[in-house]
Amino acid sequence: MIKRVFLIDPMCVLDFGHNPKSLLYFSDYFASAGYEPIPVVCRYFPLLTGEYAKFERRFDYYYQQFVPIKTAPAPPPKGSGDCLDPLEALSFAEFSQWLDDDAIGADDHLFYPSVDFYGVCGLLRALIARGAQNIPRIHLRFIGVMENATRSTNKPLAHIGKLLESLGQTDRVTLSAESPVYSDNLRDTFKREVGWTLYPLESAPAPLPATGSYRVFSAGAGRGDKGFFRLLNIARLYAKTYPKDNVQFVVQNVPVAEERHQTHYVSQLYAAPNIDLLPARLSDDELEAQYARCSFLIMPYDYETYRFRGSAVFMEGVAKHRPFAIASGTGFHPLVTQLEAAFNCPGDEDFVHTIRRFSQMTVSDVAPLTDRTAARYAELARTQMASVWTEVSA
Amino acid sequence: MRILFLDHAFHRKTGSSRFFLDFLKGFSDVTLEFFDPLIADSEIERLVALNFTDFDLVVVWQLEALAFLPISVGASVLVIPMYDGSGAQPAEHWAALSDASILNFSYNLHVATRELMASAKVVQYFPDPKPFALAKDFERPRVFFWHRRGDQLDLETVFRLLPGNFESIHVHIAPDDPDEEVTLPSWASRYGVTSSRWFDDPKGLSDVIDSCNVAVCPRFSEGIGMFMLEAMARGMCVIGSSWPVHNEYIANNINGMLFDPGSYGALDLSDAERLGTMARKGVEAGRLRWEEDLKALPAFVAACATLKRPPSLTPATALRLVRSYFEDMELYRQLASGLVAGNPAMARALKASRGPEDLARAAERQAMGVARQHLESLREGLGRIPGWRRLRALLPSRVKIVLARLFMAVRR
Repeated sequence: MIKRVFLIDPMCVLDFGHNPKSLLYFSDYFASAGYEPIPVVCRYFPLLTGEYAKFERRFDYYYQQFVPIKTAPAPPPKGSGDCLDPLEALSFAEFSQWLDDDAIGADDHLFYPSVDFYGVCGLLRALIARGAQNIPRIHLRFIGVMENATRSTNKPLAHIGKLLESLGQTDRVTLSAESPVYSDNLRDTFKREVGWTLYPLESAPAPLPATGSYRVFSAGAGRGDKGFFRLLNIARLYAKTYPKDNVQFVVQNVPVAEERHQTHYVSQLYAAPNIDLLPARLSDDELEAQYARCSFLIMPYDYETYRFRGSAVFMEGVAKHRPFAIASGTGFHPLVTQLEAAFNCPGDEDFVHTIRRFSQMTVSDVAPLTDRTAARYAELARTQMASVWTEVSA
Repeated sequence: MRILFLDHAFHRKTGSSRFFLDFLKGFSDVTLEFFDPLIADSEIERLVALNFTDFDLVVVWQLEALAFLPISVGASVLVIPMYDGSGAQPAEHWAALSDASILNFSYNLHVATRELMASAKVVQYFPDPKPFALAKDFERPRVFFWHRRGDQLDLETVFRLLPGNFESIHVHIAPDDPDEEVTLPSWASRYGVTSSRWFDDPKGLSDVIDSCNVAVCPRFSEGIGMFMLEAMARGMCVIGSSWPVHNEYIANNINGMLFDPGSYGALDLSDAERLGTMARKGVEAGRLRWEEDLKALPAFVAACATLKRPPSLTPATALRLVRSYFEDMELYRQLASGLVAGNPAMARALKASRGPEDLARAAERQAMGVARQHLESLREGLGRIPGWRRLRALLPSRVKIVLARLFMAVRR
């Protein structure tokens, strides 16, 4: 009998960004491993055809206070009972109902690819309420984003840790983090084993462009924590240091609602001949086209925000065989040191010199490096998934 | 398509709107009307007599407040404002014009207006760089400065920006205000400063610019900035203020240099050649984008012509707004705020496009605007009463003072 794997993400409310894509990546992995993947998302996820049509739309949207979404109304107020606050009580009720409705039992698997605070608390409470019987196998994957999204406690991870402790069942509940640094950090927090899992992406080479300007892509909507406000300086330094090079920086703008507050900076991006300014939001096809046209990726991320975090752009970029430079000290720093076509860059000058080095190489020089990087990544991701999954599924 | 093109009379002389007029003539039948703000009263009377609905589209170049007149009779309108003239207008100005479409030549203006207008598009104009000779010999920086607005930039400012690190400076003295008297200070001759006035033959000016390799833009802000663009097309090192649209064409130390108005630290010209080369490269790439934009523009203009809405204001209100725009900008802004406050659709659009702090300030302005509108209506109504002027003259001065104070309080 094919076993069901429910991929849970109540934060998946929009049909773009990395929430729905990560559900697809992990669904593909589980399908190829012989499971029946069933993504379960927020009930306000748009009704769509295609790959997203198979998403089961289920949970309320718990994060209006952090990430307001116009298409998702605020959940109805409820008493909190024994829970931390009404949102946790709501999530508890919704997950209890869902476990019953979908008749989830000991033979099923739950995989939570990017843990969010209220979702995981509701799930754990629902499982605790069931008692020791009929507990599915569970894997919680922390990425360092929404697991801290609450205003009701200043120690959200400690709260999750208490619920994990109450649930027990350590043989059936395993944990992992997206980055190696975060996995170490969570191990200290939860006092139990925490693995490390990348997106299970297989190598999908997109040929490097051999002609035209050398395009350096900074993917993702313009955000300060993703280094948006460093990009002009990097482009300026590059033009000053290597004036004869034909290098073009490709940058995504800030979201429309924020643009009004950043007009001088955006005007400068707009004015720079060595910068192409793209809209904040790109469709999946447009994004793919930009990856295909670019020769190099840069991620001048903010140290404070990415101290423990990984990056979806990083993982996708590696799988597409693109060399890249990322700010030093992110959650992926130790991983980057193991890859041949990836570089940790402490300052803007380091980004410039790394880009320059690759821009002077031929495609045939770069390809072996990116091939080996993608292969190493895929092998590592497979090993990690096998480790956390095989152990749970044994 | 029949288009009525309303333009500023100043462009009769400068011809700076001609490229767009020629573009419109390429696919439509264009009637051109100039408007001279110096004789606004009689010009407004002349425009009011036009039958706007005879045209598929009324295009208003630069003086966008004129759009109230065709809007008030239900004509389709496209406004093309310029940042230097309209960049400081409050959101209510655009909300009041929201029945019109907008074509922006400034990114900053586009961001400020796009959510408030019937439809909006931004383009960036670039001249064809091919006819321009390339600047050279950058070891010897030769500076060209057009004295246009002495209240903003003059020779002293240029000296502060480039204190002695040049070989020569040429000042072209052709101020916007023909009454501005400009004489070079006597010390100018010690620094190799030369000067020229209006040339009868444009080639004369062009030759002087061609002999230089650094250009200082003449004003703090521009609508399109033709001088700046032509200097960039020549591959000159262009220095402009950090205000739009300079900062939309010049990225500081990438393809030119920017300074903040009022802060004139010394600029380094040692990289002038690199900046000039990048400026030229930017114009070449920009020209290709502009040519692509031109291909898409007829469809946008045609779409604007199909946008017909029931008039959101009466011809009398439109007339009051247009008159006040040319007579008293403060009064105009209050009236526009009042119009927006009294029109739910405009108020909604304004609210949706602004943050909470902006909204609080806008609410204050709108309340004041509504009061001001009532006052102006009252004044106009009283003015229509036969003998009112004589009656007013008979009022005791004490009553007039009280009324004037009341009026000033509302105005404040």
